[in-house]
Amino acid sequence: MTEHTEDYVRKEARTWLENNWDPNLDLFEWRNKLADSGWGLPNWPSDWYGRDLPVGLVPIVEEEFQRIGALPIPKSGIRMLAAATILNHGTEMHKEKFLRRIVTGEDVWCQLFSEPGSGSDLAGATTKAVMAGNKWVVNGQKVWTTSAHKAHWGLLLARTDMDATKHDGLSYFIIDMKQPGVETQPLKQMNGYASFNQVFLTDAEVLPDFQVAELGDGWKVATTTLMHERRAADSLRAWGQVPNSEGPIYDQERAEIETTMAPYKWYPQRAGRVDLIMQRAKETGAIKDPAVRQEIAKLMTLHKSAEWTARRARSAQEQGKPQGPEGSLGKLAASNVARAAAKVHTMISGADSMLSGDDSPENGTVAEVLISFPASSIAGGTDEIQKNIISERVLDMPKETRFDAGKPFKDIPRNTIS
Amino acid sequence: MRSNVISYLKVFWGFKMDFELSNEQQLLKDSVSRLIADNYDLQKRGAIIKSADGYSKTVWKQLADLGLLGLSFSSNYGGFDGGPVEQMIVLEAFGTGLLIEPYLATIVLSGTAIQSAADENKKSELLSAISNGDHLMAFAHSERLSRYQLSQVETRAQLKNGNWILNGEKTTVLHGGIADTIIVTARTKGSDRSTDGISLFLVPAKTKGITVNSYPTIDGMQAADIKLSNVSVPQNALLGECDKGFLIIENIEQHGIAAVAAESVGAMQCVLDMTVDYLKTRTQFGRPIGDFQVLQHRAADMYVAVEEARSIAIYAAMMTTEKDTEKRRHAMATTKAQIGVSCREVGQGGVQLHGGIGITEEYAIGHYFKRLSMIERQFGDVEHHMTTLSMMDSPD
Ligand SMILES: Cc1cc2nc3c(=O)[nH]c(=O)nc-3n(C[C@H](O)[C@H](O)[C@H](O)COP(=O)(O)OP(=O)(O)OC[C@H]3O[C@@H](n4cnc5c(N)ncnc54)[C@H](O)[C@@H]3O)c2cc1C
Ligand SMILES: Cc1cc2nc3c(=O)[nH]c(=O)nc-3n(C[C@H](O)[C@H](O)[C@H](O)COP(=O)(O)OP(=O)(O)OC[C@H]3O[C@@H](n4cnc5c(N)ncnc54)[C@H](O)[C@@H]3O)c2cc1C
Repeated sequence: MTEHTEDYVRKEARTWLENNWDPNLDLFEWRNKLADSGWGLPNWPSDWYGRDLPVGLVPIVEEEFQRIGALPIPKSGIRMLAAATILNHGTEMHKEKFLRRIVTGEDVWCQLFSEPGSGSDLAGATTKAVMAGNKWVVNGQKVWTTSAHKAHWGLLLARTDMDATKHDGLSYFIIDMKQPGVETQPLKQMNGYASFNQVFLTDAEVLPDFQVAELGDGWKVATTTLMHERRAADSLRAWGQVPNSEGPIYDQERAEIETTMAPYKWYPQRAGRVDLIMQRAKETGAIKDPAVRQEIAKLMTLHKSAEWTARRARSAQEQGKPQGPEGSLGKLAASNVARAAAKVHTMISGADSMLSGDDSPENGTVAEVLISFPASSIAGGTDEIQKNIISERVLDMPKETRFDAGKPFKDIPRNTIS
Repeated sequence: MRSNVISYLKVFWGFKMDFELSNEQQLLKDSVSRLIADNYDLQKRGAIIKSADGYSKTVWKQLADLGLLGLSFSSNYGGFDGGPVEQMIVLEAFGTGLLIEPYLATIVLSGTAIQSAADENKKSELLSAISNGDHLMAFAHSERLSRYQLSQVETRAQLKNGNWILNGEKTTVLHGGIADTIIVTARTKGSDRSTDGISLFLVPAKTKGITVNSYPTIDGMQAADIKLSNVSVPQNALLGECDKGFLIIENIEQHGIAAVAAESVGAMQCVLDMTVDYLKTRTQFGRPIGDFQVLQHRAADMYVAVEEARSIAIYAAMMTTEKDTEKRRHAMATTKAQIGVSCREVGQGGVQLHGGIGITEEYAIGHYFKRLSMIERQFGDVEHHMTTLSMMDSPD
């Protein structure tokens, strides 16, 4: 069973899929089969819905899914970050309670990190959790919380000690989003979608069991979540894509994308839709224009090096190396690709790219790229923060002077919002 | 009631060589800025965008009353003989407020067409009608896949029994859906990409055979696809000389470029001001983010981009009246290339330096970003104009 050659894995996956895939199954029945067999997330531990397969062999399995037309586990959304965090730092109870419903997609998750006063300075969070009686009581405000309005559970970074330094006073919790103390208010983006929210926490409750890792370890756990988020940056373009086949199970997944997964519908546009470039260039005839060809060539060069940077990161992970600050490379590359792709798309489509109606290029998809790509260099840690990480932690340059290091958090100057 | 500001200004139009505004020009600037500050904010703008017409009749009437719509038309037709500098002042102010009213379509593009090509009767009829705010116009030129190539015209016009019969499709016609009269370009002879053989026609929007399909543009304006099937207009609907429309079209576009250049300067200055303000007040890591030198330098780059745009917008304004077509062509391509570069730098920088709040609908910066993204591409993007320039001899 530990034979991890390409051929062996391919054969095994193919046999299993041929015996089990059935487009007439109910979507959740199918996903439960994937969870039980471990074929849905084969690189996960075999104890927890996986098969201990090296990450590098996952594409082989994915190819087999594609070949037979089987629906994979949608590897998108915050719930995958939740899974990674729980697998790393969670208790047996957390794994027992949450992982299966993450795999089946029955639970929606959100990440309650950013606050009005702390975005890049995430460790400056002021949302407080106080132990009262036998539970944590949480008060504060979060912002830019993607899919909070749909979420059952939230990954919460909160301050448990005002006297400790800013990093040491943070703890990490899993919070039930469907309780009276949690109020979400949608925020609309300039591209017309409303995928993120403000979240007001007023005496919201968390049971002690739902704390992740030790008290004061919040920053360490949050860093795990963030590093996984960063790794996902290169695969954004695949998010929210619907397979084109016919059948009830596909309809069910399409319906899911319109509902619980709706906040991620524009993520491929945010990543620049490199996949549409050649097709558009050909159908418009722009491919004949030497200036356009040059820009396409530049974009594809950028895109290819980004792809291989991501491959190296995955291979490093496969060899058991921890996620390092090098992840910032992939995040920066994704911003560059998105920016360049937006430019090339408009060179190709010309003035039409500015129309957002149904009859506009790709039903407005190109226009959506134009007003979505700026999110790439902000979400999940800004480009500036990625460059700080590279310069200070990879290149070992002297750190910028910190005014807040070593001081108790309560003595640090902050925005007046909270 | 037309303000006497404009009449008073007529005393002297022109440019002082020190690039400072004259007192009269300053007065014009102040009055337009006041109109916008008092009547146009993000919330009102949002409501206007959602309204049925996609523009505000009230604002349009105010612009007419202030004399701004007829500002640059000849006084023989009820205008104020304004020059390029005055036009620039007005458009810069419009950029500040992100005005979505059909000024570019009606006044700049169509107005230029009529001024440069219509006969006396049409001029006095149409120029006064559009200056009064009673009549809207649109310029229908670009076609699917024409990708900024001005000579790409497949729409046909044929003379039959004393009438012109028009057939074809126009796309992204700015404010085409609300226009009373549409200026349609069509081929009267020659092949699809020839500069020779294009003519312009004045077509009432209600004419039989016209189908108009309006779409929102990314910046909240409206543009339309217009289908013409056997649209019949009288012989005198021809605007300018038959077959010789290309130079008129080019001139219209050049006025468009000078106009959006000025408008973009107003919008960019706002983005820069908002961003610098934000850098000074937003605190992260226990200090204002403006403390971080990378952000200071990015803001400095934005400042340089705005000033480069301002300089080139002035240059463009001056060059709209240049007689030598080659020189004018070169100047306008140079202008639009620089404006595109600046729009990118300032628009993207403004959003980036605001972080998450920069991409929200509630906050102003995203709206400026969208308008600047539009201007970046309107009348040709950077690469298009760079290609044009690379194939020309520099006339200087
Ligand atoms: C689409 C989208 C989805 C998001 N989803 C979530 C979510 O689900 N959960 C969540 O918790 N958050 C989410 N975020 C928030 C995101 O992580 C923050 O927006 C981001 O970290 C920046 O924080 P900020 O918005 O407060 O900007 P700020 O931190 O205020 O940054 C403003 C500017 O200052 C710069 N800056 C700040 N510090 C430095 C420094 N030290 N050196 C140089 N430059 C600096 C920044 O780079 C930026 O340009 C999302 C954001 C977006 C855009
Ligand atoms: C959306 C987002 C995504 C991010 N993703 C990543 C990521 O993938 N990888 C990554 O390394 N960082 C990530 N960061 C964190 C980022 O590196 C820091 O926020 C930023 O560099 C500012 O530094 P600092 O807050 O860590 O403070 P600093 O004063 O710079 O802290 C100095 C260093 O000490 C560490 N540190 C200080 N105290 C503690 C403590 N008690 N426990 C653990 N570590 C401590 C910090 O992590 C940091 O490395 C992300 C931040 C944001 C906002």
